[in-house]
Amino acid sequence: MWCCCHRAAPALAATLALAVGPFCVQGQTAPKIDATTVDDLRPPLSPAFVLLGIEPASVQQPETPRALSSALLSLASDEGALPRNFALEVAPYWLQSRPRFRFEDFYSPQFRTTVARSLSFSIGTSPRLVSNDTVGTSVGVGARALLAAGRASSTLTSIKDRLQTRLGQCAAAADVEVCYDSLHAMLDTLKANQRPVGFVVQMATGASADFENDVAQRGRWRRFGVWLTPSYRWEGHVDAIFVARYLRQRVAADEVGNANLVDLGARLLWRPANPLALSAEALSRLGTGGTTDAQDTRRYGGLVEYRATSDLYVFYSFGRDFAAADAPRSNLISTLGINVGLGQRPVVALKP
Amino acid sequence: MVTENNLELTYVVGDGPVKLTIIIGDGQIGGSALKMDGGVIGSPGVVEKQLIGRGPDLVNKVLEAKTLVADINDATDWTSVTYELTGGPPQQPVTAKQRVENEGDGVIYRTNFRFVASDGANKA
Repeated sequence: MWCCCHRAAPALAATLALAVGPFCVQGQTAPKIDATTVDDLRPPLSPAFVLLGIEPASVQQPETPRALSSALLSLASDEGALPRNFALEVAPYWLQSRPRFRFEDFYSPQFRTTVARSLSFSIGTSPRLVSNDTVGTSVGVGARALLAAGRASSTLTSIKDRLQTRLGQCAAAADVEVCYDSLHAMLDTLKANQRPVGFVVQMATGASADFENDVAQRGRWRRFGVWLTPSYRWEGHVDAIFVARYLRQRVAADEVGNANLVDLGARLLWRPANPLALSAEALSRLGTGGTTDAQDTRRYGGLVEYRATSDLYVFYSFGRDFAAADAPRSNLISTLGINVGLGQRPVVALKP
Repeated sequence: MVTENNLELTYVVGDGPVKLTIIIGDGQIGGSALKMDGGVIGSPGVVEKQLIGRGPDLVNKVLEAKTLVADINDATDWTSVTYELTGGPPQQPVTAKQRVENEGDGVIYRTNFRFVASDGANKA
C-alpha cells in the first residue's frame, strides 16, 4: 500500500511512503488526520497574526521611534476607520542603540535583560468575513518573550573568539573591505550556531476581537491564546522540548469546535551523527465546551531519519495519531519512506 | 560593505598606568587593533583592560584604535563602540555609534586618543 504522508510539501518535493509491518491499519474508512506536531504548538513569532489566521504579505517592523510613530499614526487614517490589512511587529528594546549590550548578553542569565531584549509585540487587522462578505474588521494583538535564555554553546564560543581575532586583524589591514569580505563564511557559521544550549523558556500570548461593521461598541473578543515552551538542549546534539498551549475561542452556533483547547506535547531529538536523527514525540489534546463533544486524545510516535544528501532523505516512522485513537481496532502504524526534493521534514502523523 | 567612523579624543592622564577597554555594543561582534608610535600594543581581537603605558610616559603621544564591527544582530542595524580609559582623573566613557545600511555590513571605527597631562588639557 502506497501512501503520501507528508503535509503541505512544496511542489518540488516528492515523498513516497510505504506502510509496512503488522501494525498497518487496513480496511477502515480513513479517519481525518490531525497533523499537529510539537513544532505547531511552539510560541508563534507573531501571536496576533496566528490568532487572526492571517499570514500578512508585508509586516512593518519599525526600528526607530519615528518609524513606529508613523506606523501607528497610519492606523488612525482613513477618517478614523481601522485599516483592514495592517500588520506590525515591534521589539521596543531595539528601537534605539544599546551600546552596553554585548554579544554575550544574548546568553545572560539575568531575567530582566533576557525579557527586555526579547520582548516583542505584534498587532494586525484583517477584514471580517461572513459568507464571503466583509462586515467589519478583526483585530489581533500579541506579545512574546524569552523567560530563560540558555547559554552559548562551546562551538559558538570558539567561533566567536576566532572571529574577534580575525576582525581585529582586518581592522589593521591595509584594505579593510577586502579583508572583511573574506570573513563572510565565518560570520555565517557564527549566525548558524547562535542557538543557545541549556535551559530556554519561551512564552507568548495574544488575543483577537471582531468589530462588526467597524463599530467599536459592537466589538467582541474572538480568541485568546497562551503558549509556553520550556526546552533543554545539550551540547551533544540532544534536544528535549516541552510545549503547552491554551486556546480559548468564541464558537458561534453555526460553527463546529471546542471553546477551550489545551495541548501538551514533548519531543526528544537525538542526532548521534550528522546525517542521522532519531526523535520521539507525544501530544495530548483536551477540548471542552463549544458546539462539539469534549475530546481527550493523545498521539505519540517515533521517527528515524537518515539524510543521504541535502535534499534526499530516508525515514522510518511509527506511531498513533489523534484520529486513529478514535478509530476502532486501530493500532500502531509504521511507515518507511523516501523524500526527494525540497519537501518539509516528515511528521509523525501517518495516513493508514 | 564597510563604512567608516572617525573620532579624535583627548585623555587626561595621571601618574598611574593607563588601561583601555573597548566594548562592542548592540549585540554585535567586533575586534580591535591598537597602535602607538608605530608599534603594536597587545594582540588583535578583544581589548579588555589593555595596559597602554604609564601616564607620564604617554603625554603627547597618540594611540590609534581601530575596531571593525560586524552586523550580526538581526534585531537592529545599530553598531556601537564604547571606549573606557582608566588611570587618569575619572572621565566618562565615550561611545561612537553608526547604523549599517544593509544586514551583514561592517563598520570600521578609527579613533585616535591624544594623551595630555592634567595641567592643561581638554577631557575626552
